[in-house]
Amino acid sequence: MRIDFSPVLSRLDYLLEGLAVTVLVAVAAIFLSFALGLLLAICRISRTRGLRIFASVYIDVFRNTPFIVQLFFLYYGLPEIGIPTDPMPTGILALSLACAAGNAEIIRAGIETVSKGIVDAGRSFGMSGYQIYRYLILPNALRIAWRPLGNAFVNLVLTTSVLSTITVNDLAGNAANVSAETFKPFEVYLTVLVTYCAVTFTVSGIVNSIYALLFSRVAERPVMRGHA
Amino acid sequence: MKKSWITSAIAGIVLLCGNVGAAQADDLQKIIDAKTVRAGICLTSEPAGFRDADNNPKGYDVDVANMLAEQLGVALEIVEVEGSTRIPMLLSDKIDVIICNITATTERAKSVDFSFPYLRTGIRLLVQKDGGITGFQDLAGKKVVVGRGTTGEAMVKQRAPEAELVYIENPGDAILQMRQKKADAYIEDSLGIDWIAKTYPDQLMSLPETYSSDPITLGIRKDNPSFLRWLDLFASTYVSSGRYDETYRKWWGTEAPKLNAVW
Repeated sequence: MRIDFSPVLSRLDYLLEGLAVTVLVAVAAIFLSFALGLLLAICRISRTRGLRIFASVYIDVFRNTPFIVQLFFLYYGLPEIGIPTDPMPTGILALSLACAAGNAEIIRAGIETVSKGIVDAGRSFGMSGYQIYRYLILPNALRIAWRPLGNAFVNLVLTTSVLSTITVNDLAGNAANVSAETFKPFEVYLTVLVTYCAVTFTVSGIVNSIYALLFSRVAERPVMRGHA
Repeated sequence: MKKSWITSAIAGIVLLCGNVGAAQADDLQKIIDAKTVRAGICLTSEPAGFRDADNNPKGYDVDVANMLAEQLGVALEIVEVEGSTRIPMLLSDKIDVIICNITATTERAKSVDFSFPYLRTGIRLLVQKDGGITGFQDLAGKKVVVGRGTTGEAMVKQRAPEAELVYIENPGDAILQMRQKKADAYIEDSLGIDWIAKTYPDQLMSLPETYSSDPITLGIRKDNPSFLRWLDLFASTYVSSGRYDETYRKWWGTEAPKLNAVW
């Protein structure tokens, strides 16, 4: 077999269009799944029984079913009961819903590492429940959870490739088209593998910068050091 | 002494490798020796290739594959492939022959060798009955479902460049896209299109015009002259013996498109 990248280079603009879609979908889903995961984590350990049950059921359902089946259920299943679906919004929603479940567990684990002493200290200062969450629990919990969350975000980026199965023209989808058109699967997929690597390295880099920016100082504050 | 032992060992290995290279057989001999032919068949487009209620592969291509194995005198191993994976699967030696409704094109023939045709079809458009599309001229700005790397995709790009392409993984998805009105048209060969139109006559219809006349052939790896010649003979006797008409009628219920037996 002769290795020849020229067919790939001639379709580079088309592959870049796919990359743009991948990045857009990934960024939207990272934000949504983080926000939703945070809410779920708070519900999961809430004192209100209903919220607790809702969050555990949600997390169990989404963590114990395959993503591609969830995706097809939303995209092709819902229209059968009269809810029309479009590929891009459905894809972003499916990714956010699925990844929120994992994120919620990571954030909950982070919250549970925050010592009870800090909460008691906050209460004795007369802080409200919201203030205790906002200023004491969450900064600590997110500091602990941030790196595992970063891994989850990287996973999310890789999972976006599944959206090509519901006709989203993302990097993986466009790559499949170029491969089918040029009969150069080795060259096409090698290029795309390297590109996905570049995207995930960038995500890891951003996650680390955010950690350095927000949380390295949190750790320095004596009151935040945890276990009393 | 020791050195010369190593040298002769290396020489022996080199010789052995050379021999293996020289004795490398044509795929025809390899298949006969292996007593199995691995046929790459698409099983998502009824009635050309599909799975029945008991999950058994059925359809026109499966019948042809069975005849092929029978005449080779070997067992048939069906490997499920898709439109976009059939050529890569062949080139990476996962299958011996593509029997997946593949149209022989000059572009594909650069990477794959094709036999004489064992079926003839043409590209058609499936449209929503109430959509008002009558041909390629109406496709601008419309969502058109295409399979990745198919003849239909190339035709839409060329004849209706303003159309929005919706890429699907298998024909089953195309039916959903059309039935759920996510797309306005679907382009594929008449075999698939006519069957879908027949199945959903209230909502969908196939346009009468056939936009191509495509030979459907068996595809194999290059540099296999005796296997290719064997397949040519197989395909032309399949047509001349009347088995072509018989098998076509069995699955589509109509007269088979005309095909000349060239052997």
